[in-house]
Amino acid sequence: MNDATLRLSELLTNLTKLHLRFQQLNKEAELSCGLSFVQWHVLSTLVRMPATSPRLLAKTIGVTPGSLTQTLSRLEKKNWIFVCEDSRDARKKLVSLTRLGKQRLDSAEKKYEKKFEELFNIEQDATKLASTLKTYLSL
Amino acid sequence: MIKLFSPAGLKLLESICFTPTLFAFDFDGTLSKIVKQPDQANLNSSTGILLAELGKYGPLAIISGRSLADLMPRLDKVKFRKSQVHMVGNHGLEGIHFGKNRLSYFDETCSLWKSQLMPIFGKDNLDLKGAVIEDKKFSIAVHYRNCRSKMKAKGKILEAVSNLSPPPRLIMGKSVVNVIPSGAPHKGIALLELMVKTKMNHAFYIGDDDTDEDVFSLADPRIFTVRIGHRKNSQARFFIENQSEINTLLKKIISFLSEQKSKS
Repeated sequence: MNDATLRLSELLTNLTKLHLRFQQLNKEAELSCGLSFVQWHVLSTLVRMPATSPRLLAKTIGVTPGSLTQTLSRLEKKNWIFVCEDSRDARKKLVSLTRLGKQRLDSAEKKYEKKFEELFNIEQDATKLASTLKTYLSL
Repeated sequence: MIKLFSPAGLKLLESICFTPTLFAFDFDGTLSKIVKQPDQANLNSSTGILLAELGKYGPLAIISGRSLADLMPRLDKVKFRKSQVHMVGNHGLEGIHFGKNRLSYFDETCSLWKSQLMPIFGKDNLDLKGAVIEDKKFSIAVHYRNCRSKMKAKGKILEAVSNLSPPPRLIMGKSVVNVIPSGAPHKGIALLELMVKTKMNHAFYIGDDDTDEDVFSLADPRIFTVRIGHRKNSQARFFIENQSEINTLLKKIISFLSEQKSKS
């Protein structure tokens, strides 16, 4: 293996570790606070965007509508969000936060403080890695 | 349209109370009942009390077709926090900042129209007997509620206003034809301006008339629109059955907001 390949391999290993760190943190958050980061992100976005379409919600969060479907389904089963037909277009849906979802969000935010610090650490490490990757790709 | 007082409607209404929202209302037929004589329209005291209570939670707006000079005295007895209430009159023409030149143009245009209409209404025209031209300075309203045959009166009025120069924009109301300068802002634009002014990302608006369709048809996902009375081709998302439910609606909103405030 030459130097460049070794560097790329090391970079990808670090990115994978970062991804696993986030996944682990996400699981811990769900276990200890009752709400994963991804779920928190969806609910806290819905507070600011009541009665929104799943498409617009996905765009705001930065994911594809398809990848949001499973998360929305889980949240709806827990009665934290509410999905109904859009009266303007029966083909479309509207998603909103329920009272229970709002209560869950409010109580989770108090417990999240330390977890948020770890999340920011992951972000910093990710930013460094992204910069390294950019440099590598530009060579 | 979804019935607002359905389980789905109430959940959606509650969800907009989780985020800072501008609550805006039409006046005639919404906050106050429609009456035979327009100058007799007044706010029910219980509605006034509820409105003042709602004003404690955030900014309110009243967007009316009446001129501001006509609207404001009808809300004098309501104990609002002055800084929290924004009043817009003349279908969006008054109460929002526009250039003086533009307002002068609207004023001059309405004077011109009035001079064109008066001779027609002054004649011995039985179909138009009982019709009243209301000069609102920046727009004109021709009321035909008290005409013997409303259908005939409406026909004659539409014939008369369609010959006006410059050509106006017409908005039909309940037994009234609203004659508005072309290019003038409407209730929808007024609401958007108020959202910017009050720094509110969301708004709730309720109205009863075709003039309120200018708000409903904005199709802005940030605006929660409610019509009084179900109308098949209305662009409003929700409806309540009639004006007598306005107090129930205000109480519901207040209870949702109060619950949020007690938890924060």
